[in-house]
Amino acid sequence: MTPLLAIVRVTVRQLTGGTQALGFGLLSLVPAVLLAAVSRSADPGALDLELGVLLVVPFFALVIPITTLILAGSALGEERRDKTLSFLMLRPISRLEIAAAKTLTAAAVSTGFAVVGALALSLTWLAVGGSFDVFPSMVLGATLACVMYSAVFVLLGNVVARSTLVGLIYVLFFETVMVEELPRLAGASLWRIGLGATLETMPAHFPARALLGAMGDWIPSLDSALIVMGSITLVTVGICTVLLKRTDAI
Amino acid sequence: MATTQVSVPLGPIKPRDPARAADPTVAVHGVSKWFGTKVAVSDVSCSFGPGITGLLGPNGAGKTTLLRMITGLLHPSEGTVSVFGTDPLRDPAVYRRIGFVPEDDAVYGYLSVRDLVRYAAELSRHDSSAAVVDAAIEKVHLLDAADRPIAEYSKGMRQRAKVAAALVNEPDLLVLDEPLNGADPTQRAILIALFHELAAAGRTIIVSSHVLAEVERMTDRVIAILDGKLAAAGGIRAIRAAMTHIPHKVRIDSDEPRILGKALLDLPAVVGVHFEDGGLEVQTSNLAALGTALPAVSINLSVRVTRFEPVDASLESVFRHLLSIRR
Repeated sequence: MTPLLAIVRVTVRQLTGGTQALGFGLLSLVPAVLLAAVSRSADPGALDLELGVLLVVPFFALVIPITTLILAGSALGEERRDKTLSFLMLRPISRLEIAAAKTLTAAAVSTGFAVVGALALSLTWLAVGGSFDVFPSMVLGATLACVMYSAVFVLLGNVVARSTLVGLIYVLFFETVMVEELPRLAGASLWRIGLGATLETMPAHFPARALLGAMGDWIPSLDSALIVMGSITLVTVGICTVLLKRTDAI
Repeated sequence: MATTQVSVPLGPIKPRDPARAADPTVAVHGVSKWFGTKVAVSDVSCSFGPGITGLLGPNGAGKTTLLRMITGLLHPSEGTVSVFGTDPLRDPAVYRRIGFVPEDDAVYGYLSVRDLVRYAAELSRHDSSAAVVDAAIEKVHLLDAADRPIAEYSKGMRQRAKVAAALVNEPDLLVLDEPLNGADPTQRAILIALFHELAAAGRTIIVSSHVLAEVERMTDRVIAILDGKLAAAGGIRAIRAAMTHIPHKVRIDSDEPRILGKALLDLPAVVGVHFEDGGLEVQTSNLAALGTALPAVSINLSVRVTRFEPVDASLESVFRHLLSIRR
């Protein structure tokens, strides 16, 4: 097995060990539970809108960012905190391999939880609304968001001791409060970029327009979302690599 | 690796030779490290060659910082480190030949020792087959517990797990930071025997410890660090011999200690005599002169000398002297 795959394998165990997997799994189901509860009392004609609201608020704006920031922040951050980073650093492997393996794993694991959440939401929607066709679009947008958050928070975990706290401030204050007040900052909100890709690819019956209000001034297309995701990932993995090379590992 | 070279730059002791190994694997040139305003290591130059070299110093002396600079975990603020002729910070390929056991309790608690050692082999691009992994675990006598999570291990077992992970790629250089911490006497004996075996095979082993008796069991060659500076280097007895301003203590037993003690006080090389446990503890400024004069004195007095033994050439007493120089 190559060093990169070995790091991925062990990091998956690190991120999903103990009760973490159960906790994140339950968290990812919350939007589906809410949708099921709301659908009992909602006007059947407004169900698309209910799904839309539940996509935006708990799933894209809370479940995905919080799950990913905790997982990605600990991918390298926990190695620094537990002083196991020397185990990785004193090996004949490039720093790029370490940064890439950690980012890839954090993105894959958080996407896994997001897919569970999207699946639960879609199945609930199937039960109450009769169609399952929103699932691929939700997975697409969730994947983009998870990759971007992972790239940013793996880097953050490498440089900041309290990366989860900093991440929560970014998600709950900047992305929620600041962008609400200053919509022109929407381009710096990662979940909105993922949601942009989801909305563009949703089936025609989905009330995408009803969600545009949450997007701020910039509504990214799928192409621009992919470009932003690629750029963010390249830049943050690059910075992480340079920092691993040039700063003390302890 | 035994050596007679010695360097003792602190205090009034005159250095006779630099702290250089004959065939250096690791060369440290004028290395300093500071964290903000705190200087952890100051202008240390030394080298390490095949065999075991003990890195000594009290807690906070700078041993761990020096080891971390040698391994490339820390960047020197000044100076250079060369391992197998290259800088590990620039050439990670050199880590194929290095094994490191950190002082910190830094292990992946969710892995078993078998997983940990396999992971180490994979990261080192080494053979990670079950046979190779088990051979490394067997060296530290952990095969019986190889599938238990390391989180369930005692501290001594975790130390041995780290040693197994450091050995799996058959490194030419083994850097051990307090490797015997938490190990019970049996485990210590196992590890010390293992280190001797590796040293005999030509590996370079740098072992840091503040437990002097342990270092003394492992090696005669030491490098002592005090307050971040090189305090002494070389063979333990050679370092002690270089401390000419500190009287040597010699235990002399005889059938007439009082008569012998009184006569010894007349020798110019003798500084003082104490009666202890039926024998004499003689302080001398010139150990060789005392050794030469003693037979004649004993014959003249018809006293039978049954023991003549320097009692402060142990590592502990040498280190105590070094600490007193610092103060």
